[in-house]
Amino acid sequence: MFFSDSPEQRLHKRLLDGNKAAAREFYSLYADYLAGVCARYIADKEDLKDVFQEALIRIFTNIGQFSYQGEGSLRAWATRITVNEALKFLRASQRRELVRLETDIADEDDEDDPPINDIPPDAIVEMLRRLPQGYRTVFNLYVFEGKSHKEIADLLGIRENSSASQLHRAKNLLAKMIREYNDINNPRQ
Amino acid sequence: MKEEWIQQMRQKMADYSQPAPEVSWSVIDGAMPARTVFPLWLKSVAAAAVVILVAGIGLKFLDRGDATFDQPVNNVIENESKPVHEQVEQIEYVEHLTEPEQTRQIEPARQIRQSAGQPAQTVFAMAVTDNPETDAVPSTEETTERQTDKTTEHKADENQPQDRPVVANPEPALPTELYHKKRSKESRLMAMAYVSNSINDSQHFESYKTGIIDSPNNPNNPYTSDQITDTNRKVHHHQPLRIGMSLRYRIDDRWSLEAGLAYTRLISDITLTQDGVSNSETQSLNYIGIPLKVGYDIWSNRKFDLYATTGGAIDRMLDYSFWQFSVNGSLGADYKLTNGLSIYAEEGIGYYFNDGSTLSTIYKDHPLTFNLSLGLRIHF
Repeated sequence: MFFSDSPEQRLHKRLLDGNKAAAREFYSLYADYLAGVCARYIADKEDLKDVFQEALIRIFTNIGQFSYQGEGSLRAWATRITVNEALKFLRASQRRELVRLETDIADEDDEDDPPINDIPPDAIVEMLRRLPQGYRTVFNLYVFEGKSHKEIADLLGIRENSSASQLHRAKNLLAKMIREYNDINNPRQ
Repeated sequence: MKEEWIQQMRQKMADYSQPAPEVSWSVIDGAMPARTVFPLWLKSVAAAAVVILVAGIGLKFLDRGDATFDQPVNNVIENESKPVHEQVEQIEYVEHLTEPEQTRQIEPARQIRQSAGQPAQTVFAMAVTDNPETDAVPSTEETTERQTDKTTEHKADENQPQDRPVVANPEPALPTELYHKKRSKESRLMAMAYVSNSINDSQHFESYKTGIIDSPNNPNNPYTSDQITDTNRKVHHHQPLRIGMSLRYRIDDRWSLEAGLAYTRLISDITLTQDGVSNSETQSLNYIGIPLKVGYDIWSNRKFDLYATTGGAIDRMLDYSFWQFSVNGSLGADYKLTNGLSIYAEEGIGYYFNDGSTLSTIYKDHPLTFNLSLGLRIHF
């Protein structure tokens, strides 16, 4: 364990050294994945580009705070930094929308969990990006980042039950979109 | 929304990626941490300088340590004109006489004093304070503290010119011979195992601004207004733990060399807060190192040995490829349990050089640290 480093561990060490080639290697390994993470949160292409670049800078400048905890831990840590950057951007630019959404929550009937087996990930990301900003953010944090409503409330500065309501609405909207998608592309269902 | 559906969704998107946007490498490169290059020869020179500095600081610090002890001790330093080893021999001799100790001890002590033409009170104090250690076994901590003070006194003495006229000793032959005889019986090789800890753990908090982005292509980007972001970083370093084994070889009556192998573990809790969002990490660093020391015996009798060491260590970080260089000076007290076995405590001060990484370690935040080692010594 001590003397045989994994490729991820070796890359981490080189990044700690401030090695610029290592930064490019990191980009070639993880950039597409991290861009995918950004895309779940940020709808606008130009915004995505800025958030993505800032996330990379954040990753490289804070690499000293990462501690290697097994294969995949560097990617997981980089994902957290990227999500934080996306949230920071959303807080700065979309604060008004989050506040508005907080006020117009109404109870809604629960849609069934729609089947997603036949839907490619690309299409799901496109659907997520069509969701209103606030719904999308809460849905991402709850479903993909595994945050609790309490944590989401703290992160976004909203109330806990507001997080729950927004998740509920996001899911219902998504279910409609998934049904439409399935109707068009997989008419048997 | 069922947990199963969430899992399904998570699985589907687990490795989702899309072509990454182009980035400005000039901006990213500019933001990357620069590695400090510190040539090896400079390290050696600095190490030598620090050894001297650390020894000096250590002695000064310890000198101020205990006011009640300072009084008689200072008298000895200032007034005693005999070279230090002769004083030690006298005291050695005193303690070898087993008859009623109090009276016996005071007698030769007075003789020294008279021969040096100083008030008797000074050495009297010294002889009496030495006494309890010869029969009673004080706790290790007490011993270290008390002996530490005396070490200072002897050390300081050595700094005085040695070429002063030596006043005739009333009993010159006996004590010297006894001292050497005793020494020659001692083993030359010792093996030891120890645990060492720094005296304080450390917590600190820092705020800084990062991520100044230059985005010439998009000056109206709303994000640029938030170019500079606040980051708070809280670091709590636990006490470093060092365990090791080493061999000490006695070159002559006083000087010895020591080399060994040590394992060190550093644990730090790091909490990074960016705009109210916190990420906590526990950083664990492991080192294997080779400490090298030179030891000097200041004072000893049948049971006790008081010594000073100075040296350095090279530690290899096992988690990442960095080297940690350090220098250390310490004062130690050794108590013989049996002929072959003793326990010891060493109080040291160490200086740790920057390892050139961006890692936050207790060594980087507190390069100058005090440490305490406890160990067992086997005498061959």
